[in-house]
This record gives sequence, structure tokens and C-alpha cells, in this order.
Amino acid sequence: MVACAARKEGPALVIPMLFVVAVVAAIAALQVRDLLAAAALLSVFSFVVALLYAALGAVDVGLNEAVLGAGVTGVLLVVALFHTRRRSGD
Amino acid sequence: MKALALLALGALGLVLLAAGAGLPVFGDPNAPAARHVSDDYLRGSMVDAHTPNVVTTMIADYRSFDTLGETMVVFAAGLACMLLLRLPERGRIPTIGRPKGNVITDVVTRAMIPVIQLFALYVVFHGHYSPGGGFQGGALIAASILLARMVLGFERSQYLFPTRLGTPLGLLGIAVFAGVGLEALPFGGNLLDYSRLPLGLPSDMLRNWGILFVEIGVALAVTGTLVSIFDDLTTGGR
Repeated sequence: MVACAARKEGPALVIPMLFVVAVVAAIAALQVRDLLAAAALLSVFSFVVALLYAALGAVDVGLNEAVLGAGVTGVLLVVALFHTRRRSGD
Repeated sequence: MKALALLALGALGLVLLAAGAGLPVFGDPNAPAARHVSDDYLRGSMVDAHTPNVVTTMIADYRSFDTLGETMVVFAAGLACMLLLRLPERGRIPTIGRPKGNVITDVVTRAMIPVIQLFALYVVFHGHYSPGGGFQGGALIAASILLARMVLGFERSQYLFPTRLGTPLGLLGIAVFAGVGLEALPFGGNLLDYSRLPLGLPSDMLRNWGILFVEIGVALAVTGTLVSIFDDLTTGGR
């Protein structure tokens, strides 16, 4: 019973923290001038969102987000950078 | 202009926050979304398809037509990248140079690839019982190949997965998925009705096996497509 209560309390504290980290990472990805750093920050955002999915009980979606969002998409963004300039003009 | 955009965004945020206050509480069993079909799926997953992971049953059995469409969308995205990036003339896509080669990264990569691929196979084949399935497993295999492409370089990672295999593997995955779905038609079932597969098993075990075949098809399609997109991006198809 106690363990069950602890399991319920844990995510309740973790979830708002994850939300804050996700929002900060998203804003940083928009603000930063170096597009390579922006791609890395988007990976961070995806990974935090994957943790959020897992904390909310959607483990399948979380696994998908961790592999595709944080892994493969980050790699594809970095490779796409080779075809353009690394500095953001915006 | 920027102030105007910020104002519009702020107003939209306020509207979203106000609307969010009216949403049901997290995990509320009386939420509108949980009151119609969810109950049938939760009760039926074990009886109908002998699969404890309801998400897998949902994706690969109850709503497999959606998943078939999704797999085709992934493959179509790969084809679109090919059409855009494999242009013979216009502004030659720069070939990304060979990595310098570093003993530490090489050895670590070579050690990690089999572990990632074994975990990927576990994710695909254990999707009935634990989180995971075709999409995640296929993406993991693709991720291991992309790791080799990045660290070992294009030529030295061909032994792991030849570039010319990407698109055919994606097509094979869709063929496996659609083939399992169409197989039911001559035996009197509907499209994607695995309980009509001619394997001589009880209906729930047939649907269990059907889910496995479909997951393998999805994994093949995702692996082939992701690697082909990466190869098109790095080499422009040369």
C-alpha cells in the first residue's frame, strides 16, 4: 500500500519538472543561432517528452518518441545541416 | 509585426489554458474518451488475441487498417525524399566526407551495434507482452545502422546494410503486412482478419501470430525507409 502511494506521488512531482525542462528546451531551440545546437536541443526536448509519456503511463508512445524523436530525427536534422549553412539567419 | 505575433500567441495560450481547465482529470475512468470502446478493448485483448499488451492489440489487430496506412505513409515519405534528393544535375548534393576514424569511437560503435540490434529484436518480438512493437524495433535497427554510417563511414558500413537494399526492404515490409491482411480474404474473412489464417490454431492464437507477422512487416518497412532517407541525404543516391 505504501509502495503504491509512493508510486503515485513520484510522477506527480516529476511531471511538472519535466514540463518545465521541455518548455525551456523548446524555447532555447528557437532562440539559439547555431542550428547544430538547435538540433541537439530538439533531441533534448524529444527525450524529455518521451520521459513525460512514460511518467503518464503511455510507455509504448514514450519508447517511440525516444527512438524516433530523440534518436533518428536528431541525426537526420544534423545530416540535413550539411546541405545548408550552420548559422541561422533569423 | 513581432509584437503582433506575440500578442496573438499570448491570446491563444490563454484560450488553451482556459479550455484545459475543463478537461477531465488524468486517469479519470469516466472521461468521455474512455467510455465508448476502450472498455471492449481492455476486456477483449486477452480473450480475442491472447495479448496482454492492449496497445499492441489495438495497433496491430483492432485498428490494423490504420497501421497499414501509416506504414505506407512512412514508405511514401522515403520515396518523396528519394525524388527530392536523387537529382542528377541540379546543384550536386555535396557528398559528406569520410570520418577521420578514431579507435575509441570505432571500437565503441562496433561493440554497441549488436547490443542495439538484439534489443531491437526483443522489442519487435516481445511487443505482445512489453512496450514496443514494429515501429520502435524497426527504428532501433535503423538507428544502429545510422550509427555505423556516421562513425565508420559510408563505405565501411556497407557490409552491415548495403544502400541499394533500403527501398526494396521497405517495400518487402509493406508486402508482408498487406499479404497477411489479404491472406484472410480467400478463406472467407475480412481484410486483416487474422483469425482466418490457415495455420490450424485456435482463433485467439491465430490473431496473436497475425500480430507478430504484422509487427515484423512494420519493422522491415521502417528500417528500410529510415536508412534509405539517411543515405539519400548523405550521398544523394550515389
